[in-house]
Amino acid sequence: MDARQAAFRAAIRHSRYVRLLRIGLPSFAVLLAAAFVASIIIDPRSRIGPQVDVESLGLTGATITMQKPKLTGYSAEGRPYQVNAERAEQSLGEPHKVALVQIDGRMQNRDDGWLTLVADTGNIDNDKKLMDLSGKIRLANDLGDRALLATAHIDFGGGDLTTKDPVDLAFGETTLRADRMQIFDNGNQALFQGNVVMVITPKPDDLPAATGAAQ
Amino acid sequence: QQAVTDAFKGFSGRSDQPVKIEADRLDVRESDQAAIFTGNVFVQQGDSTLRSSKLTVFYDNKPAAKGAAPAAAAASSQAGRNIRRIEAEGSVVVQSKDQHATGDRGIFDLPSNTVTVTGNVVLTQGQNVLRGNKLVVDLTTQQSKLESAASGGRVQGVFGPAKPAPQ
Repeated sequence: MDARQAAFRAAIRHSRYVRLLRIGLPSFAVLLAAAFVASIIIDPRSRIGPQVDVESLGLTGATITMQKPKLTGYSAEGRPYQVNAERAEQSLGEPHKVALVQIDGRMQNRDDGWLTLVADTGNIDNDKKLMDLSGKIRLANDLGDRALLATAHIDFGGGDLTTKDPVDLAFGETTLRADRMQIFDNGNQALFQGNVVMVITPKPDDLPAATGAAQ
Repeated sequence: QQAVTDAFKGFSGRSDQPVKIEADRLDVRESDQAAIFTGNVFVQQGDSTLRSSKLTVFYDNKPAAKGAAPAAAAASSQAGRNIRRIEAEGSVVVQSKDQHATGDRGIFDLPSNTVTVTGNVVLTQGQNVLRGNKLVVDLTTQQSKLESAASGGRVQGVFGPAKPAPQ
């Protein structure tokens, strides 16, 4: 992980929306996978794993259902996070997988801001390091950047991210939408396809002859 | 009577109007800090438009303007994706009102605020049509120069604003 950590730090110049997506989504994936998978096996209140509070824990057949799980803890880099879900389901036969409904998460971002993620459903496979999100996905940071997606397939092992559905991104004064998107090569490349529309609105202070217009 | 440069004025770095870029595809490569639009590229700013088959936007991370408050400097350097140069290739058409320029390649250099169109350049303004190999438009002075290799690179025509540029 360290090599990539260094790459992230060195790559501060990465354009923000790629970074928002490339860091944001996989980070949540890693955290959800580790938190839920660990918690189900080990006593949810164990100190080593994340703190998982649940309204109720049910076992029907081989499926564990956690109602209103609330996850709080610190990521590997010591950054606080909190993730709530309406429900989490896991099958005893496949403890490396967890299905989440109505995900609502916050995580402190590398630049001390906060990353927020909302999605209707999330399916995580911790063995394959894959997370599939779907339904009104919204990822945002404190700088006002945000990404709206309908689906997202996140390989949080390799770092690639694809969606076959429209994306709507806003970062700084630029908006970008496209029918499909892929982020690969460890986030160094992003490919948008189909009705790509980018709108760049110059900020008043970008213009040399800024007239001090109110921000 | 519009100045030749009006076709390009829309794209000058000075304009505060939003720039809209449409294309079939966009590749963003962080390593070489470029965004490459390909396929039916259409760029619009104000009433100036540009069409081409490919458009590459080169950006860099200039720090915020000197004198900006530290917070603003930090914020804008975060956001600082200043566009340095835009290169259009493949049947480039730049148009604004009755101004119309076509060529194989168009380069908008924002720092120097100049546009260079090269390769089979045809400049149309109303009825008159001029041909050349290279059209250089200085958006600051609103002067433009059309050169033609056929005449040994001599300038075919120099244009300036019919009237002083409106301030």
